[in-house]
Amino acid sequence: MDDKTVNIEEILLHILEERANTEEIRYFSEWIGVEENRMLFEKFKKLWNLSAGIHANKEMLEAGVKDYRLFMENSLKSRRNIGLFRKIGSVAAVLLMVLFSILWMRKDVMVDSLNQKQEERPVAGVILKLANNKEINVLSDSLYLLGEIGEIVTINKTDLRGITYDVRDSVIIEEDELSYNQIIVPAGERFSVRLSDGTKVWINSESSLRYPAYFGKNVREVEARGNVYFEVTKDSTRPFVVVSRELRTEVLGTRFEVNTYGDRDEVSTTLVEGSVRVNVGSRFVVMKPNQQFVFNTKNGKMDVVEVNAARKVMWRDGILIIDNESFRDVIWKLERWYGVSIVNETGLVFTQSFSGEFDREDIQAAIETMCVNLNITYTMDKDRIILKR
Amino acid sequence: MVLDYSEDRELLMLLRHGEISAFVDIYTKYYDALLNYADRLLNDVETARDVVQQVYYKIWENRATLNISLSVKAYLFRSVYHGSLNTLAHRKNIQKYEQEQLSDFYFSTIIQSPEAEETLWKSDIEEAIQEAITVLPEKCREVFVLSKIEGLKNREIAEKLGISEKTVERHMSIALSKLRDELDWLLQIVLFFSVSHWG
Repeated sequence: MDDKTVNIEEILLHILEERANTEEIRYFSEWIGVEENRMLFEKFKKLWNLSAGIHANKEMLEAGVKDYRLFMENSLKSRRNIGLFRKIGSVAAVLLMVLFSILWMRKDVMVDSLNQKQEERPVAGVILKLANNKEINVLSDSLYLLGEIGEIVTINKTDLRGITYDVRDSVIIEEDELSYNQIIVPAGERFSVRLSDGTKVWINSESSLRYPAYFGKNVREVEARGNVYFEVTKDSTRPFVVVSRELRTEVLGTRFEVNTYGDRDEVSTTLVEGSVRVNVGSRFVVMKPNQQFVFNTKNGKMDVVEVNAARKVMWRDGILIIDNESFRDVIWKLERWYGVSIVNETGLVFTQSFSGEFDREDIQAAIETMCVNLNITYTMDKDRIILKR
Repeated sequence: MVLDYSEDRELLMLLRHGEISAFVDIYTKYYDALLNYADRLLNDVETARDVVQQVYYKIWENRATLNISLSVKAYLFRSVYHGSLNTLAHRKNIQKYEQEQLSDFYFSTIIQSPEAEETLWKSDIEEAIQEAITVLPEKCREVFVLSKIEGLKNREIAEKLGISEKTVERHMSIALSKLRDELDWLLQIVLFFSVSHWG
């Protein structure tokens, strides 16, 4: 094995996963001869062993104890009858195996420790800010956010990157009695939330959404920053309003995104389906599907352009679309999407435009594609990418 | 009902007399940690479950003659260790090392010894790791959680996320090195502690 092509971390991973091949085992056994390497491996091994693994479900464990108890009680009664003892033993063992076949991770433990830490230091990751200003990192793997809102709605985690507001009790609330929550998404992340009216919202990197935990009786109004996509649940009695900087987008039931990233001093609304009315101050435009409304915040110019709206909102499925865009726009997009900073040290000015589709996970593919096209190279140091000649 | 036994000796005495609550105490306290440990030794959940079940079964069956000179905890971790080493799943793991005449090396260096497992069990660093995991980059974290905490195989993760197995691996190695960077000082402390502890 050639030293230059070896990724030692991958080999360590293979070794710990018990699936290293003979060549890797040989390489590893020599590599670890160096004291420094041995220390490194010890650290990896600790991490590996501590961050694992499968856990028994608490309820199942309790059920298992119950069955064991029954078996033990019987075994105590019939200690002289060895045959029966064995029989019950094997039945219990089989029963237990079935019972423990459902595994879980210690979600509740993690939430608890997370909540304890909350007061001590600011939270990183996607933040859910509750009405009482308490901040929760919703990327922790909890399934459950307990009783934050209380009687009317509960907040539940649907997956790694989503929460829902489930209504427990329908009530009528005046607009001035609403309690607001906010989700703040940093660069390199995205998150989805289903609001109490069933409206689904996808929040892109470096974006936020402020909304009432439960909507009032007349209007459903939320505030969006950055890039946010909505699938609004129809409710003809209460219009849905998105306030995004200068734009006020009013809808009844539809799919659309707003964008206030402000690249090129522009904010926009893109309509996928249905109909929306965009207000800028006292002016307004009624939009059709596949139209994008663009407002220039510097010169106040308004414009409606035809776009492929479905493609524009593919980010919510974790796909970054670059569509005939300038170098500068692409850099902005990549920085935000992957949560990195990109520095151009080539001293060159690029006038080409770019197109491509990139998966959320594959930053290297995105950067490489661009560099190959521009005939330049790059180096990557943690979250910093430097473009070089 | 789980009684709180502070002394192992008392616990064992009660167990010897067929006191069920003593067994239940041992069972609920250690089952999770033992299953987790066996699964890492064997890389196979089913077998891991059998091994742990067998250890408990034997404790009850042999309770009258049980001779535990170490702590109950040490006894359990050692039993699971030896139980795991006797299975087919483990023989498959070690085969390649035997071919290279590296089986001693495997046991001394790679495999998690029951002593090390015992030292790390319920240590503060576990909590620090859980926290560090939550701030990993999105995809990295997703892959890491699916792999390490939900125990999925790389192939299953690749299918679930629609990425290649190679990419899964890359995310895993990135996650591990990021975590190591993040927790370097802490891992160092534990390392130091455990070495002096055995020494």
